[in-house]
Amino acid sequence: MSDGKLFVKSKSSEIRAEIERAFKKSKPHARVKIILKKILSNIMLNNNEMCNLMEDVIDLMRIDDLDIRKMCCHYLIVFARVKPKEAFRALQFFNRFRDDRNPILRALSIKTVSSIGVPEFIDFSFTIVGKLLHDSDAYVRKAAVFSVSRLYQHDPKRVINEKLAASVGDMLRDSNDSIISAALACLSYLHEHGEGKFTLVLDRATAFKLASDLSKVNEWGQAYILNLLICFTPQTGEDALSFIETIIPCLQHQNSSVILNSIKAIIYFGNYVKNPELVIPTLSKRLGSSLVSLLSKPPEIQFLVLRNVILLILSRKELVSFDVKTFFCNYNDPIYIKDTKLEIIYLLANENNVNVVLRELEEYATEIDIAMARKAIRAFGNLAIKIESVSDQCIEIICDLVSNGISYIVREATIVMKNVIRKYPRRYDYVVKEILKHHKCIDEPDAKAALIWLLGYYAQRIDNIDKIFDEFVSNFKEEPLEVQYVILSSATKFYLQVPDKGEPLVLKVLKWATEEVDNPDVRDRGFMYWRLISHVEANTANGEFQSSTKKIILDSNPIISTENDSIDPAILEELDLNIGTLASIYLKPVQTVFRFARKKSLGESPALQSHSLPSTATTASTDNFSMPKSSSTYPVSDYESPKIPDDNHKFHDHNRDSLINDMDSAFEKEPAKMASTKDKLVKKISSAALLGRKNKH
Amino acid sequence: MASQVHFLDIKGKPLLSRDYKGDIPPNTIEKFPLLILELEDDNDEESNYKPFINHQGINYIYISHNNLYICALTRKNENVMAIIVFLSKIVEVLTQYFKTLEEESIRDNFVIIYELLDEMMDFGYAQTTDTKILKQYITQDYFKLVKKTPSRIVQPPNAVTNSVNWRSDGIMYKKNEAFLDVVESINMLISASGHVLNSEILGKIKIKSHLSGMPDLRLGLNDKGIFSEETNNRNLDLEDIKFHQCVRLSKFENEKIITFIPPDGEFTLMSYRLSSNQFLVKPLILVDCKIKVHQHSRIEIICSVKAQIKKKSVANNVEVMIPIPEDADTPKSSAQYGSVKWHPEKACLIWKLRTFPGGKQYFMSSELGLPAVSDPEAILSKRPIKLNFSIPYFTTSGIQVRYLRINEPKLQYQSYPWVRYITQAGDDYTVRIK
Repeated sequence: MSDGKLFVKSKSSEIRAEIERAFKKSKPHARVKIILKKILSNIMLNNNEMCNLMEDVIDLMRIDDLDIRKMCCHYLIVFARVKPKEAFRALQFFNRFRDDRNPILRALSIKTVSSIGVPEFIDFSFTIVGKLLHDSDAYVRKAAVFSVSRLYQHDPKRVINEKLAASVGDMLRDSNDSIISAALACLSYLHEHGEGKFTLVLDRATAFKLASDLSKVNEWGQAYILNLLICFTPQTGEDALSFIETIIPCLQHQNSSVILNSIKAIIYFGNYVKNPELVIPTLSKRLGSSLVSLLSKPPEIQFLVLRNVILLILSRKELVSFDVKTFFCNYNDPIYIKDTKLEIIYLLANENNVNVVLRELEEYATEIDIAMARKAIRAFGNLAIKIESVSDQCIEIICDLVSNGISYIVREATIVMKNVIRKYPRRYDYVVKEILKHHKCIDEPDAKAALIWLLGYYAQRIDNIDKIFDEFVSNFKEEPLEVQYVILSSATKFYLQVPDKGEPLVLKVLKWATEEVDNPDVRDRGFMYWRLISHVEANTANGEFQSSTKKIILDSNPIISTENDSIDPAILEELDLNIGTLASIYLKPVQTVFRFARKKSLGESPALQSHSLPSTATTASTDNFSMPKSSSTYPVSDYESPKIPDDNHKFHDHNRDSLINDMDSAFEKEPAKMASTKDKLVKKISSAALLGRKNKH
Repeated sequence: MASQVHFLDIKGKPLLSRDYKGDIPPNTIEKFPLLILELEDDNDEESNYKPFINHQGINYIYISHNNLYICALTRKNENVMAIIVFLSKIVEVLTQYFKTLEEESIRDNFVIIYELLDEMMDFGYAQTTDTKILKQYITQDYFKLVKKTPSRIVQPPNAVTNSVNWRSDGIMYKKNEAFLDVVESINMLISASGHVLNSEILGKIKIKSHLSGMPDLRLGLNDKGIFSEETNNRNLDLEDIKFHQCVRLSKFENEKIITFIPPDGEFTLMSYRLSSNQFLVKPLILVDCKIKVHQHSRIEIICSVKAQIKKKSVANNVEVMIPIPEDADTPKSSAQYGSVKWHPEKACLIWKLRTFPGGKQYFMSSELGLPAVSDPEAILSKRPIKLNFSIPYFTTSGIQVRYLRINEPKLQYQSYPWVRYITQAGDDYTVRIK
């Protein structure tokens, strides 16, 4: 029999009639079942009129049939809140069920009653849950334990007052292992979502018992235990080490979430052991390979694993070891996987493996997938900045690619080169020439902005600069804001360096900016440049052309580096405690994504090791770094109270979702620099001549 | 963990939903289709963390399966890995229950799906996700067998709360047998010049157990340095083994002995991954393919394959999939051995060789027409050549089952273990082309 044909919208009156008819027959069970199914299918079709059947459905619960009762309970959960008065009558049945001989029915009653957020039902569940927690059947006890967490959601105070949390805590010593894991799951819920009303602290004995239970419970139970072990703060390094040793076998579990939770626990306990990677020499390899082996799972899991790999590379390089080759992209990987792998490849690249990496990236850069190709080129640029010794190689490859004149490659290369040149001024001029050959295919704002910046920077060395510049400037008024800014500054730079060619251009641009553009920022900036170049003191006493202006505008740029790759260690520390959770995907401070999440931090203990910043210092010298460490842990406890609204902005600088994209923000530094020039200007020009006059030189 | 679990059709319309916590409004899921559309629209921005959507404080975590989305919602910073694994378990269990999981089978079995969802998760925490156990007390045959299910008949099986929660008591077989399959899938990325860029062996030991009672099994493998740490010359990722939950992990950790009480029926006992290049210095099947494109007229393909395996071994069902431009037509092919077929829907030629003895080499050539007018911007796609094959009686890693001891303390019966080996191409056995 297929239930598919039951999916027809019915009216409650029709169904009521059907029920009546069913009871006229001698064996109503089968018919009643079908009718109930009809009702449920109508619920799925969002037919809310079904709520009128409340009394009829409650009546059906008297039939001694598990299926019928299950369906009735489902109905109650959906509609009891709509019709609380009528639903109230169902309680008499539940009062009977809770003492029924069948454990499934007992469990069903507490499950259902506690799921209905109506005061009478909640009241009732509070009266029965205590007894069911001590039921003789483990299945019922388990259901009761989860009901406690449900009740906590409705009325947390009462759960604490009636000592339910405490009795769940007692169940950690239950003879049945699966109850232990259920109790743990419940306690961890109270802990994380209790808004501070309930805090779970594991003592040493319990923690050790839990760890030894690991092999006895089912896969989900293991996941809960591993998750909760981090509530225990080990007081000695030996304790922490023995936990790590107990957990290591779990890395071989089939269930991916068990693996990630074990990694989290191992990393956590690693904080309390001095140089864990030296004590257990195989540790880093095991952690690394257990993650890598998950890459043969479906893409969603792969993605999660890869994000966590990034997190671990950033925070605990010494504890996990990876081979960059395992992250090479497969042709069929979805783009979000390729993307993340590329990021990892970039992060793992170092002087030893860079040749393999470059060869692989070149493969991606010529791929048909445009997004991938662009990202690969970006990676070349970033590698050139990250590893100086290979920058020549990277740039040569970029130059090669540009020479094909494929538009998206040229665009991306332009953006990349702008950054590279800021790191190595004047080193790779030949690429700029190559790019300029293909300047016609540059049309995106980002690439345009980058190219115009290059024009301003190289004004003196480009032969036909006035023509190229003219092309890009002609559309000034329609350009997006960021391009307008760059045009303004670059036109000025151009004028300062090549006055005879630049003068008509700069005048044209400044006139547009000050007279025809509506945006006050652009106008302001236009005025500022205009005043700068037209000021009386622009030329110094000895008649040098615009020397003071040059000093301000042609200032050398701050050299960029990849240092800003690393996230604040305090944030990483918390993220490490959130391995496998949503926060590990976003790689952002937990509180910015989940405002009410409970802050996790490493518990204080004499065994707590301070670890240095990932980018600095080697692991051997960690001990000397206790001072900087303390400054990063103590503030953490200041944040503990969840209601400091200002908290979030502290993190803003680090809100980077993709490291590779970071380099883009180099442009944002431009306005800052502008602002400072403006300050200088204000000091210089006191009352200052207003604009309008033609500037002299 | 998960607050709600939904089944949705390909357009994102909810089919079946289960609310576990009630902390998210029931109609939230109605936004899902729009969010999916948005994702597809702007696929160039990295702000989208597929396959996870965060919208107005709600996190949508979803997987897709057979034109369905299975989506979990949560507000909190939950363990996504657990949620994703749970969702795939749902798919696994429902597939085992209904053969296929699709829109129709969801409607046809919605009541039992509700029951299963109730048993598999409570308050958002995953519970029992083992089909064999679930089947013992949630069956779809109620309606056929007994018209009436008095409450006292159905009892939760012990296994739900036992420590051996994957096997129930009282299983009986007339003939006690255990079948072992050692399957190794080879993934290899080979450059156009025939160099192996990256290779891995994904191995699995599958067991079909037809054994009575509560047998205790002990599996012995040849530890020719594969699982023991002593031999450093064959430097292997020996940690890369994943076991079924029935294997006593701590025992393996300390003594390197694999002992377990198996679940009944088929299951994967262990899977392992070897990425070392010692095993796979050269491709098992070497492909050398030259593709010459004469713009606007034709494309020429000359391809040779060589089986670089032992002379005694034979590769079966070898398939070489050669990508060609989508607008190519009228293929003329000739092969020294096997057959070449044109599959325009996949834009490739497939060269099939039913049996391929080790050491042999075969050639094929093909010529296809190209349209005279073509998009000048179009770049020849760089799809790689893909290979399929299987080699019986052979494992690339050299792993071998030494013994499988079966001991049932109470019944003490005679039992028969059987072992098979096979090496096959994985999903990513590819050769890049220039």
